Amino acid sequence: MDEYILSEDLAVWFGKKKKKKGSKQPKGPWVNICRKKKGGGHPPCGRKDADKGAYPVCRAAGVAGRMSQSEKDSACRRKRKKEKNDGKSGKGQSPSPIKIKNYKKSKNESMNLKNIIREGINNIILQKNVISEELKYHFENNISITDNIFRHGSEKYFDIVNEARELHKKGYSFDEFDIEILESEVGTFVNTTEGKIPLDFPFEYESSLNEGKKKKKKDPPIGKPKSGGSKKWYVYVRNPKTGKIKKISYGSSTMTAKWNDPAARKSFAARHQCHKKKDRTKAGYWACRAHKDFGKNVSGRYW
Amino acid sequence: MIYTQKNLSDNLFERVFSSDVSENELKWHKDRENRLVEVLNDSDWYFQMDNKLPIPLNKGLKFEIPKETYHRVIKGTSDLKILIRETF
Repeated sequence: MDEYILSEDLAVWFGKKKKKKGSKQPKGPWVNICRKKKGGGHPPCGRKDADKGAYPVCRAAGVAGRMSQSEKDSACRRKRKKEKNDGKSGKGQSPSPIKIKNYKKSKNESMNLKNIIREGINNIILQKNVISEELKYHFENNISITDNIFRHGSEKYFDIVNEARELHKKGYSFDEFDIEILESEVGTFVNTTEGKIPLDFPFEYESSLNEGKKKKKKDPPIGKPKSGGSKKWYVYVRNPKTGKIKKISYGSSTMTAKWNDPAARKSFAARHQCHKKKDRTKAGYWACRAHKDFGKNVSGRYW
Repeated sequence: MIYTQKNLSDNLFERVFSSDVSENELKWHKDRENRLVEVLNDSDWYFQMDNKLPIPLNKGLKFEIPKETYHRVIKGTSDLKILIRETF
């Protein structure tokens, strides 16, 4: 009997520990690829309340990171479809596992007779129909509907799906992955009290619904120096002439301030003519006053 | 880091995207500032604004990216060098 030793670490599965160099174990933790976290990524696999929401589709974070959005959508759609077919929709059901698809398509697909006929029919349909520049771009560049060039969830993304669906209904032949999308309800919206919701589309619902309600982004804090940026410190100021906000970076990141050395202070103030620096929109103004914002126990006047 | 950047001033940067960068790292995103971009070298990279078709980034091309607007770059086979000027 062959002996098989599984050299995987449970702590890596849960994302508590980094995987060893050369290990084939995917990077954890396991995440639900049908949901999105605010700010990117996916929430952990599993639900707080198993009676609420659909069964998650889980993948190791390392695997999820390599999947495209359309591959994730496809996995979620297949899960929901399988649950429906197995009669497992609703509460208290056991999960319906789905097969992992090999999404890699052969690049040098031979042109067999079937493909030639398919292409011929497609050309006839295209000649009879006016198609948008955007869909034309997809066809000309051999970009499938699954690999939609537009941002996932954007207006044009759904336009392409809907336009391709119309062509599909007229007999245009798409590949099996595209057909999966075209036969779903992607691109259809329902109006609810919470707003417009896209069907068959795993999405960051909360943030998309709240997008319209979001308050105007606040201006950065004006006149409050902070550490960081391209130099040692930075501050946002409003230019009184234009009314626009300007970011001022100042301070050498390679030198240390010697505020508690009176001779060094005097020398700095003289060298930079601090007594003349009165324009708040210039770096010199803030550099001459940096001790007030960042110095500890700096006594007396600076100049 | 998906690019290397040289700060020429507070709001002027020279940025180089390496041809080694993974396509998965070049995501759709928005920026806080308006940006004026100038392409400094010939490459086969593309730029795409939200709801628009990609445009080739040819040397000398200048364009504006309004703040809070989704956009992305599409990787080519060589390095891409651009000049970015930020405005508030």
